[in-house]
Order: sequence, then C-alpha cells, then structure tokens
Amino acid sequence: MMKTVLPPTSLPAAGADSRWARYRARYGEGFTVVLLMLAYVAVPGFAVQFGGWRDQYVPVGVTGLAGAVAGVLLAKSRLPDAVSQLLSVALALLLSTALLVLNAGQLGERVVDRVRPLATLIVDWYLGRQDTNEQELMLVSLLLGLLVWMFAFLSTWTLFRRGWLAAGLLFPGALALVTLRYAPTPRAWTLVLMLALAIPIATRVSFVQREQRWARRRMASPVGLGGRFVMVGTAIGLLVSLAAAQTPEAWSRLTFEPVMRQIGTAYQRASDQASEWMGDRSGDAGPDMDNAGSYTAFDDAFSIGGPLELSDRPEVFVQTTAARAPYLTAHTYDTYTGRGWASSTDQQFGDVETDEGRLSPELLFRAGQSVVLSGDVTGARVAQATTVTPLAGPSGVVFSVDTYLTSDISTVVRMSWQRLDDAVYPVTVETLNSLPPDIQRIANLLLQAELSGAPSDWGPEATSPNMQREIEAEVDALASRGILIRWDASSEGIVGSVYVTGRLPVFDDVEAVYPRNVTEASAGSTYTVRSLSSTATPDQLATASTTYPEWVVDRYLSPGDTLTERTRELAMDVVGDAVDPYTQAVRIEAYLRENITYNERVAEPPPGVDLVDYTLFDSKQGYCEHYSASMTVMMRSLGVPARTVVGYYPGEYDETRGGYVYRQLNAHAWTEVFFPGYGWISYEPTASRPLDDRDASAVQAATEAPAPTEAVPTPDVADANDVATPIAQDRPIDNPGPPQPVIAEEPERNGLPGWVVPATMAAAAVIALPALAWAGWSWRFRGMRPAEALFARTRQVGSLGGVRSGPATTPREYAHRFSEQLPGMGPPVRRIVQVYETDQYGPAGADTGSLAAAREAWRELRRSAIRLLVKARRRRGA
Amino acid sequence: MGGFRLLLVIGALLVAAVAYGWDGLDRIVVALVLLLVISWIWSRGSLTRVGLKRVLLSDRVRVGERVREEVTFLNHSRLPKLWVEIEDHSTLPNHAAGRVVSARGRRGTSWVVETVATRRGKYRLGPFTAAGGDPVGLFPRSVAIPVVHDVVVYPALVDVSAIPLPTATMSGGVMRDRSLALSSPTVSSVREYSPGDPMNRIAWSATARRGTMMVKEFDPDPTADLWIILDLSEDGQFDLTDLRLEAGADSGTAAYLHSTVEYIVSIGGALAERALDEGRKVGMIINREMPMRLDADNTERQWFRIAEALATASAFGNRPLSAALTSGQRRFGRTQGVVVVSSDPQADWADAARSLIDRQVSVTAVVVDAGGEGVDDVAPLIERLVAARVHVHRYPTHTANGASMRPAQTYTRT
Repeated sequence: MMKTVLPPTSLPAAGADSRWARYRARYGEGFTVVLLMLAYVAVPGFAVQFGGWRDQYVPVGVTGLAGAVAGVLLAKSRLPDAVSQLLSVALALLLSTALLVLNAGQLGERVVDRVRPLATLIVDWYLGRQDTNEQELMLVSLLLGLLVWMFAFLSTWTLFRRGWLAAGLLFPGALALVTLRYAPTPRAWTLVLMLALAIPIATRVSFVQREQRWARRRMASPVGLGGRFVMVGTAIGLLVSLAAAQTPEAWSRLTFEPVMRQIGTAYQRASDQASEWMGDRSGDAGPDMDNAGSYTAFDDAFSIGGPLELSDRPEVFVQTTAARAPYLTAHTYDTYTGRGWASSTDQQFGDVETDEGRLSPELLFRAGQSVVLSGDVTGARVAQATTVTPLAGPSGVVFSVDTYLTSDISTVVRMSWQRLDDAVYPVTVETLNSLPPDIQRIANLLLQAELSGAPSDWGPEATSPNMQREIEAEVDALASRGILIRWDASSEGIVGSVYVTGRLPVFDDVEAVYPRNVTEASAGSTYTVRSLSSTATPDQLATASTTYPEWVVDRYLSPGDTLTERTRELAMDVVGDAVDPYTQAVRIEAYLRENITYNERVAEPPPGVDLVDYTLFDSKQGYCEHYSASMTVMMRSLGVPARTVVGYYPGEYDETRGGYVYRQLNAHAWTEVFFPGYGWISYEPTASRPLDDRDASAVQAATEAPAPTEAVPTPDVADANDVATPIAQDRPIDNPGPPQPVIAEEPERNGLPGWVVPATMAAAAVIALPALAWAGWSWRFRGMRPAEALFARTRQVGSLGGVRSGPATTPREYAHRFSEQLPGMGPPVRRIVQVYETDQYGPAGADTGSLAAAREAWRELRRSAIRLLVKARRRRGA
Repeated sequence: MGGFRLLLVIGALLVAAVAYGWDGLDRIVVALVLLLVISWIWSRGSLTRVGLKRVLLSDRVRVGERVREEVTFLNHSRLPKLWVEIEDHSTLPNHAAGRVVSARGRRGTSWVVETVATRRGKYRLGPFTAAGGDPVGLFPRSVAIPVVHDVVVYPALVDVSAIPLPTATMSGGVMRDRSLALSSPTVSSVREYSPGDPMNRIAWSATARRGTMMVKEFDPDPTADLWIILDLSEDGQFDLTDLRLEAGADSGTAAYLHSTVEYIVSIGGALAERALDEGRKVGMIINREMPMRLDADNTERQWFRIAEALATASAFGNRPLSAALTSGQRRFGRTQGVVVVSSDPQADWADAARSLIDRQVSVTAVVVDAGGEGVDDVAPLIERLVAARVHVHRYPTHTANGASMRPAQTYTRT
C-alpha cells in the first residue's frame, strides 16, 4: 500500500487583510453556492413568467432574480434582520411597481403618465371600489411580482444569513410545484432543473458547515476538497434529476392506490364492525345517525335543529344556460328519523363481497358518461348545462341541478339499489328496452343467440362458439358486480326469460354525486354538470299518474315511526278536497309558508317528541330544515312520495364574473314530490324564500326559460330508451362497460379518499408514539441546567448499558467506568463529564462553546447507544 | 436535515402525491428516494476498511519542549474515500492530531504532529474518532478507533544557577559505637566490631592485622542529603496569568509559568536535577494538606521519581510550612541541607527555620516573588529569615517575554 506524507498539521492561517479575502471570509459558503442559488431561485420565477398566464404586466422572473440577489447581499450585510426585511419589502414594491409602469401601456402613452392612474388604481383597490377586470389583473400581476420577490428573497436570505438549507430550498421548490400544478402551460423540466441545482447546493453547504466545524476543532483539510464535493454533488444531482425526468406520470397513484384502497377497505370493515357492535349495544338498528351533523355538511345523514351559524363566505361560483340562478342539489334523503334525515341506501344495499372486495352502493362514472334514466323521471324536461367552480376548498360533492345526468369529470354516483332474488324478466325484442339497464346487454346477446347447445349452470349454451364466448364474458362481468344470471330457452333455442339474483342500481334514484378525484372539485377547478330540469306545467302534474314505481314506494312513502296522528289529520285538513298530489303539495306548501314563522334560533323539541309534530303544533317556527321536513312528512302521510333535498338556494349574480356566487348562507333544504313520468318536482315551503325563486326548471321554466337547450347535447335518456340492436354498440353505458361498482370505501365525499383517514391515523401514531416516548424521557430532566441534564442523560444510557455507580462515585470515576464497560462510548462520555464538572464546580460554569461540544458529544453517544442496542438485538435474535 | 427527517418528508409527499395525483410531487418523491438511497450507500461505504496508526516519537518531555507523533491513516478498501474526518481526543493541551484526509483506494496517508507542551502533567494521546458520511450530510457516521498512548510532561527547566545549594557543617569525624544507617564514600577510621554492624563495613585488612574484627568508620559527607521542601499550600499561591501575555513561541520557558505553583515546582525540579548531577542525595517534601515525601537518594532513578511526582504536583489545601520543618526535624541533621521553596509572604515559619539552624542544619530559602503592584510583599519574610540566619534567595517571576519583574537577589546575614 502506498502512503502519502502530508505536511505537519498547522492551523489555518489568518486571512490576509485584502478586500478580496474579506469578501471570501464573509461569503463562507463560497461563490459557487451563491451562483447556484441564484440559478435555483430564478428558475421558478421564470417558470411563473412563462407559465402561460395571460396579462402579466410584471415579469416575475426578473423580480425573482432581483429578490434573490437582494437576499444574498442583505444577508451578508451588517443590517439587523428587521431592517433587512423592511428594505426588501421596499425594494420589492419599488421594482414591481416600476416594471408594472413600464409594461402597462394602456395606462398612458408616456411612462410618466402612467404613474398617476396606477396610484389611483391602487387607492381604488384599497378602498374597495369597483375595478375593471383589466385593472384588477394589473394589481394581481403586481402582487404576483411581490410574491415571487419575497419567495426568492427569503430563500437566499435564510440560507446566507441563517444557514438554513432546507428553508432556502423549500421556498422556490414550493413555488415551482404550485406553478407546475396550476400553470396553463406547465413546464416539468423546471422541476428537474431545480433538482439538478439543489443537490450540488446541498452538498456544498454541507461541506461548508463541515469545514467550519473542522476549523473549530483545528483540523486541517485537503486543498480542493470543496471543489470535489461540488463535483460529486453535481453528479448525484444529474443522476437524481434524470430519474425524476423519467418518472412516469401518476406513478405514485398507480403504484400505491391499490394498496391504499385495500387499507381503506380494511379500515371501513373495522369501522363498520365497530359501528355494528356499538349499534347492537345501543339497540339502534336504524340508519346511521351517529355522525349526523348539520345539513350543510351534505353528508349521508343530518340532524334538524340547532342555531344556524352560516357565514357569507363564497362557496361556489355557477354559470348556467338557464335564465335564472338554479337551486344546487347536493344530497337527497329518504328516511325520516323523527329528528333528522338519513339515507337508507347503505342499509338497503347490505354487504356484497366479490373477489375484488366489498362493494358499496356507488357507481363510478367516467367523464361524460351519463346516468341511464327511465321514462319515469324524464317527462317534460330539458337538458341544462351548469358550470360549477368551487371557491372554498374541496366541496366533496358534485352539485347538480334538479335531475342529475352527467358531468365532464369522473364521478362516483350514489343511488338506491333493488335486491332481486331470482327475479324473472321475460326477454323479447319488445321488452328489451324496459329491462333494467344492467341486464339489457346479456338479454340482447341471448336474443341474438341460438340457445340449443349443451346445458350449463346458467342455461343452455349458444351454438355459436363466438356468441357463447361473448355470453360467458358478460355473465362473468355481471358476476363480478354481484349480479348472478340464469336463463331458459324454448326448444327452438330462443331465449324465454332471464332470472336475476343480486342487486341492481336504480339509476332513476340518484342520491348524491361525488367527484372521483377530489381535486377536480376543489377550489380553483371547474366542472360542468348536465342535468334535466322540469318544464312540466301544473296541468300536467295535476293529471299525472299515481301509480308509483316500486323503488319509489319502497323508499319515499314512509312518514316515519314517529308520525303523530294530529300531523296526519292536519295534512288532511290542509289539503281539503284536493285529490291530486300536485294540488295537495301546493296547498301544504302554502300552509307552511303562511303558518310557520321563519326563525333561525328555534328551540329543540323535548326528548321523545317528534320534530315535525313539535314544529307544526308547538313551536310553529323554524328554518328551512323544519319547513322541508314538515312538508315531506305531511305529503308522505297522505300517501304521496316526497323527499328532502339539501344544497344551495340561488345565489346572487356577479356581473364582473358573469355568473352566480353561492355563499355559505345559501345552504338550504327543500322538498321534492314525485310525479310518475315527470320525476321529482321541487317545492319551496320555507317562508323566507320567495316562491317564484323555485328552481328554474320548475313549472315556470316552461314559459320563462324556454331556450337554454340549444347548447346542450341531447340527453342520453333518449339513447337509453331507444336501446336497439345491436345493443353492444349502443349499450346504455359506453364501452368498455357499465359504470363500475365502487369497492367499499368512503368515496371522496369528505374531500379525501377513504384510505387517507387510516393512513393519517397510522402516521399520527408513528409520530405520536416516539414523541410521547421522548416527552417521557425528557420529563425527568426538567429544571436541570443543560450540562447537568446531559450528564443525567448519560447516566441513563449508562444504566441501560449496565454501568453502575454509587452515591460516592464522582463524575470522573463514572466516566472511567463507562469507558471500561462500553469502550466505544468512552470519548463522548468523557467530554460530557468534563463540561459537567466545569459547569458544576467551576467558578463561571460551562460556556456556550463547551455546552455545544457537550451536546455534540451527547448526539455521538446517543448514536453509539442505538447502534449497540441494535447489535445486541441482532445477536439475541441470532 | 437528517436522513430520518427526509424519510418523513418523503412519506408526507408520497401521501400527498397519491391523494391528489400531483405529478410534480411524484417526481420529487422519486428524486428524494434516489438521493436517500445513494446517500445511505455512500455513508455505509465511507468508513469501511479504514485503519489508523499512531507512533509516539517522544513520550517524556519538559514544558516548552515538543511532543512529536506520526499518525497514519490507512484505506484498505479499493474504493476511494472522498473525505474522512479524523478527530483526536487527546488530553494534551493544543495537541491537534486530527485532520481531514482524502485517500484513494488501497492508499495510506500519514502526517507528523508536533505540539509544544505548555503544561506539566500526565496526558493521554488518543483515542481517535473517524467520521464520514455522505456528501449531502444525510447520514453522518463515525467509528471510535482506540489507539491510545500516554505522555508525561515534566516541569519546565528554570535557571537556578544563582541559588547556592546548602552544604552540611562538618567539624571533624566522631567515633560512634553504633551502626550507621547510611554510609558515605569517605572512610575516616576503623574501630572494633559491634554487634549489628553490617558485614560490608568489616575492614578485612585491619581485622587481619589486629586479629580482631574491625569495621570501617565513615565520615559523614558534608554535601549529602539535600532536602527540598516545596510549599504548595493554596494560600500562598498566586495566579500570574494577568501578568503575562499568551505564551508565544519565542518567549522562552517563562511563558509557561503562569502561577507561583509552576515556579515552585520548576525551581524544585531544577534544584533536584542540579544536586543529583553533583552526586548528592536528594529528598523532597511537597508541603500541602496531604503532603508527599520522597526519601533521599542519589541514583539515576531518583530524578525520574522526582520528575514524575512534580509532573502532577498541585497546590491542595493548607499546611503551615513550619509544620513541615518541625515534623522533619528528626530527619534533618547537621549532615543535611534543606532548601525551602515558597511564595507565601507569611513569615511564621522563620522560627522553625531558626530552630533547624540552631541544630546545625543548613537552611536555604528560595522565596518566589510574585511581584505585587509596587509593594514588596516578601520583604518582611526575607528580613525575618535573614535574621534567623537563613540563606535567602529572592526568585523573581517573569513576564511572558522573559523580563524579570524584580532583580534576583541573595541575602545572607553577615
């Protein structure tokens, strides 16, 4: 082995007294770091500038770079922190304003002429006066320039003043990420470039910090080592950024979502099981009201009552083709509990296990994929497009207007289901379209096939092998969704009936719609919903049939167990001689509006008293929940199907934006009554709301807003009803298949996927347990001087390692024993003891430098102890 | 940011990426994971198959001399080491044997460390800690390398040539018919054998001539048995740090004498060395709360015994110097000379010294003058000692550049 002889150790020479040397000493991080940081910080600024946002009056790339330079210079100046920050703000304002003045040509021809209008604009903005869009854009551009400056300034300032590498890299990184996410023309290479720059910076800063430590310890280091660090950092940076550049899109989601979904499913099962146990104990077998909160949560259940605390915070911005602002529907409910409303869908659906997991009563719909509606709900309706922009975080639901049809984002649609147990459906060409949509395709295949083959578990096989394969594939597909099919055929091989066992979705009974990806219905994103608004006239509704579909009878006729006789009698009294449901509904609506006083601070009913009874006969006041519940229950008591709906009543029109702003105080509950052939028709029993403000799709829509449909595509309802052969190409739900059942997890209704809750809990446990352990460990050292606490910690470690000490053992003796028993830990223990002795027995105590050295020794001791522990366990394991 | 924290950040970013489908987060997660893996592997390899060797070139030095050692770092691995931080945990002041080294595969690097010993004492050189890690600093790593040597720093050599060593007063030989505990090289006469006389004192030629057993009688050596008493009671010591600047390379031995304790110890050592060089027996008493005594001897090992004792001697508690003189009265005869080295201006031991002198013991006092601000603190002591017929030598302290605070002076009663 060759050996190099180095010169004798010598301390670093004192710096030469030249200006260059002083600069070098001041910029201890090295000019390489300065240059790399300027490049690193400039990248996101220019990414914002060239991100595709229109009307940028301030070139934010320039402000970012200038901010970074200012950060470097001010960080190394002798100015106090506060003064530096204030100076930075002043410089940012000056530069951004100057750039705005230079670029805002519409404010005046000459640059000088632009100053006064700009000042006026800022004052107007400050005073809240109305600005034009263009002026507003100027201010936004100015603020963006300031923001980018501050990000850049803070990045370099924190690094060069405080030495905080993570903070220095974080600010521009966050800016780049946000830009990448929201820029109209995002540039992924900016992130890759920043990664390539960040790692050499980190390496160099790490070296500088090491070098400072070496200098403190009087350790000479090889010449040129810093350069080698940068070279290595650059190589690693290039490698890492290359890997980042090659990362497939949505890699994490594709890789981890199945796992997370499994976790979510397991969590859901455990949660359900726990709920079941709790329910058994409390004897509550009804719909889940445990978590029932306010109706404004748009959850599966809510309790009526409690004071309303709604703010004017903007929630949703809506643009519609209708002539007036629509009611936005979030959720409907079928079960009245006596104190609130709940959905019985989960209970009705029950547990359905397939190979892929437990199913839940929701279906996944791709963007543009329509809900297949039957003629029971589509009469006298027009399609209406509504563009919705959530304004305050993830809304959790997709708002629809009246009867939901489709959306331009992928959705999870919650609907009711019918349970079938070997239900018989005759299959002929004539009955094909009236079959449930899910079995139309298999029925069509069976109709086309000659079923004279060998008998199978499901029925006679097709003679054509190709057709048989298609039939088997469809049967398997249905089975995967929990639908089992069998059939019979005549002796000629013509299908007779199909027998269905399992659960079929009732597409006519959509309860709520959720975004598949919560970010698509979050603040800043926009989605368009197509729905069917009713244009039925009073005459049409008055003469509508009263023969209700089975699912309506099953779900929407029960007035609840708590219905009182006097409520039923009141309902009968109110409707008087009216026999048709429409007139009855109008009279009850009018009665409630006239006889119940609107009050948002209504008292709770006494325990055991039905809320509707209490509202109608005792308090005679309430707000939208009370009105809606009263009307729905009264209608049901008369044998008319009705349901309560929650969402938003129409918001105010915003001229500058050209749409309607729905605020939190627009949250509302109202009643819908079912009319066979016409579907659900809205009623407004709440006295505080104008009657003619009812949904634009209601009765008046036929006369007042007749033409919103020209821009709206023909609803898919027609396609669904006109299902014709071959159904394979014109199936109710587009290829590759019908809406997929959702594996039982909480859909993204609360803003996050279902697995996030257990994952967060696990993460919290992972963080909390060590934190608790640390707190318990540290508790015993409270009140001690730092050196004393370090020595006490050392003794704790020693006791774990079997180092014994008596009352008469001196610290030095203890250190000696420690070194003998645990030789590897001797040096740090000796250093700690030395500082402890100085602190305890010296005249002035341990100084800051000694304490820092002791802390460093403690960290070294801790690492050694952990290593020893791991090794001991390994040996024990072996 | 450590590796564990980065792992937590990656976890949080991954959760966010999966939950929100944010493409940029995906890329960052991949990059950070790769960085983490590279850093971890690098860190693991940074200290594999490395070794250290240290050769101490001198293990006993005086204050002001240089401790020299050669340290060799060996990289047995084929992979180069970008850097390895060798930290030395030696207790010798100012000893900086640690350094940062780079090494190619299967190469070694060595360097010589020279440190001026500034304080006497026993010191440990080593052990080493070798620290490495990854370039980004995510996974710092260190291993202890227990290569340890001891080094002893003896007191500084000060000039004591001006201090006269006391000689014993001998006015002729006296025939004694008792055995002698100690012999001297000077045979003065022969006498008849008495029971108990050692066999090696038998004068065989005289026995043959006289026909009866005769033994040799030795003259006591007037230059033998020098006892040096160092007064290290705490009350009499002065810190001289304020009087001197930082010890510089050219300031001589005086730069390292930062207290009267150092002066006393160094003077004691130098006197002992001089006496031993002259072939005299030297004993030493370190007077303090827990006194220490080294019996007189004139062998070569005596110097090392004294030097080792002086290397670690320090002031501790208080014990009157008179007690040291009084308790040693039996030991001090007219054949012994006593040198007392003290910086204590208190003169209460003058009477004890007078008592010794009255018993024909030659006493010399070396008074270390700490150099008070314009006041001659030790003058009353010197006056009383001189009155007691003690030979007194005022030993002045020095500034860092070697200048004497006061002139050295010897006082003798005439």
